[in-house]
Amino acid sequence: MYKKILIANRGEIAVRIIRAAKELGIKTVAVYSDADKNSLHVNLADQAFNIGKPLPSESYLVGKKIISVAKKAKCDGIHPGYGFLSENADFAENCIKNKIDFIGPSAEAIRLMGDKITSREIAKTAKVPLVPGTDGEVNDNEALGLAKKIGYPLMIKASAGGGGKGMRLVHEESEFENSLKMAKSEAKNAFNNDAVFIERFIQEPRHIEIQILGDKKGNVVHLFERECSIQRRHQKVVEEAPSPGVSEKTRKKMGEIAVKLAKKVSYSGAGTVEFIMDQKENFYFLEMNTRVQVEHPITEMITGIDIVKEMIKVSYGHELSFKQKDIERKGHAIECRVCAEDPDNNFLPTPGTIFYVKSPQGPGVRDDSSLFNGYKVTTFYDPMLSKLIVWSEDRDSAIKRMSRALSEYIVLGVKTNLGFLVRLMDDKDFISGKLDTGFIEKHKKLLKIPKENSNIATIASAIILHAGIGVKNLERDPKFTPWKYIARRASVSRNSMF
Amino acid sequence: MKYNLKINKKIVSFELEEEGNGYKIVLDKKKYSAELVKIDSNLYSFICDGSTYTIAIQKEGKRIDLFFKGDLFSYEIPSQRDKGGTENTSGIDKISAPMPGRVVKLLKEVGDIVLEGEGVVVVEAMKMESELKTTIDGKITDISVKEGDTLDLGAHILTVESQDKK
Repeated sequence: MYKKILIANRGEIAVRIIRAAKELGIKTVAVYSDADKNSLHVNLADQAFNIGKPLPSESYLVGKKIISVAKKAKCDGIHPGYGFLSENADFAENCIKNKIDFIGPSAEAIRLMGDKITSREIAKTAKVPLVPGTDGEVNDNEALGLAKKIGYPLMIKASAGGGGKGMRLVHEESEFENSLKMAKSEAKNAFNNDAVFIERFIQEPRHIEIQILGDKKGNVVHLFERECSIQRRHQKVVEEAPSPGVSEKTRKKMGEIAVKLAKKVSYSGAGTVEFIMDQKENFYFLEMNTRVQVEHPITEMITGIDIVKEMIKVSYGHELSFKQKDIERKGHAIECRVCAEDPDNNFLPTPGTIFYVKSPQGPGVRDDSSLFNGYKVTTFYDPMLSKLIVWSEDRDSAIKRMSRALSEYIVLGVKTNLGFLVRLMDDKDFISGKLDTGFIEKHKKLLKIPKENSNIATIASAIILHAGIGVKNLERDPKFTPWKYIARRASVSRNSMF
Repeated sequence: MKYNLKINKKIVSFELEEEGNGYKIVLDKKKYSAELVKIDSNLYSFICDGSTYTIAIQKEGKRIDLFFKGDLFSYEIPSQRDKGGTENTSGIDKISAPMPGRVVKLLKEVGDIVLEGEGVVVVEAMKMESELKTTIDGKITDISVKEGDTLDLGAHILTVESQDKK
């Protein structure tokens, strides 16, 4: 097994990987930017190296620096986590050139599947369903015939498109000719190119993805699906496994297709095949993520498989220790991404200092977090603070457990989306399981703080204003303030802290 | 006793009297009986009209941060001049950076007339762009940044002045 690995990431995923490595008896090396010198992953790793300024382009994205640290610290592997360099084929190649394993798929697999166009082509040859549409530009004469074949509703999209320009939703045939004309003229004006293509419009789509794991001996298995339809700004907020909208038959089919696709590129390590699915369970390939996903824990919870440990083991050359038939799923898991952002203000990030945090505990609760009292939320990185994951025997009880766990979560210092998550778990449409990627748009009331809550907050603040912070007696340590704690924490040397 | 607190640029007024172990509070013409007991460094047990809640509180200078049911409420203890009105009765809206970031685009120029709720500047923080809007009708009287500038928290960006006042 590896002797020592470098974790080329920060935040909760760096912590997650360090924990897996420790359990496998592997030494760990953290890298950090100036903004992260007091962070949890630095404290937990056996060694830590500064790699530059806070901007990712000057630290976490500089492959050269990271490889030179890995060489200096004599690491035999680099785990990239997600984001940053995780899907950078050149970086993967450079690791290998420097005789350090890239813990992930081969550079070639990243290259093939990371590109939207080539991955679509590979998907096509593997007979993976794609959203029905024209392969490329359509000419006016054939357009109507092609549209009929594709079926309504459909989208006309500008080939050179972007930002919604030159895009038309067509509900029925009678609208088609006119919409085509409009789309083409819009495209001509916006991009000086009137080429358009046609694609089926998927109504109320769900985002469903299949987790796969492969080894270097050609074995690939899937670990079932995750539903990730609750999104804002096209980014996931809540994920669950299994999906309440996927039948056993579809699950089996999706899993088999994902495995087939992965085998096509000799995939090893953890990866995710993403699909878009309509409400009748027709599903179509979207893209493949050639790395560990943020939401991998829910799959771990229902299968009992430690995905990060498996990644490390197969990267070293071990064969997967299980076959498809050995993998069973049990119960239901949900993940909520706790983010420093204000749902009531367009999910705008809310940087600042967290002076007090309390994580939920109790049965079936897991909090993958990198928070601590005094943590600084900066504008340099993603606003995700932690991932709260619960497991329970079925979906209803998992939602109740999530609700309970969220009610125990306290973050003081910056606004977070916790209140929104609390209200979501209580929403009858969410509970009913009829989800689609437009869910948040359709449930805007969940973004607002209920008046009765603001009243309670105001009344409590009124008392504080009147009586001061040391209200009544139960003050256990009257001299204690979180600010002192933060200062104390920063001054303690890192080795003695954990 | 009468008190004011400021939240989201609005003043909330209430009356508060001590009553036994707790307090009697009148807010929005409604009466509440409440008790607040500290249980840990930042944790309080709050009893209001017979229901008990756990809330977290941090008071720092003139700011009271209160966490309740997942939401953070940031109150400001208003200075004397703020009493009895919102900031915008002055007819001036000074727009400043809500967080450290960068000016992506100025949507208006000095002298432009803007309407309440209209976007005036696009700022970027954490890889996300957002539009800042004016809260009053008026005219842009000064702009102290240019596109590409880095913004510190609270940095002044521009001023909108109401035309009625002049």
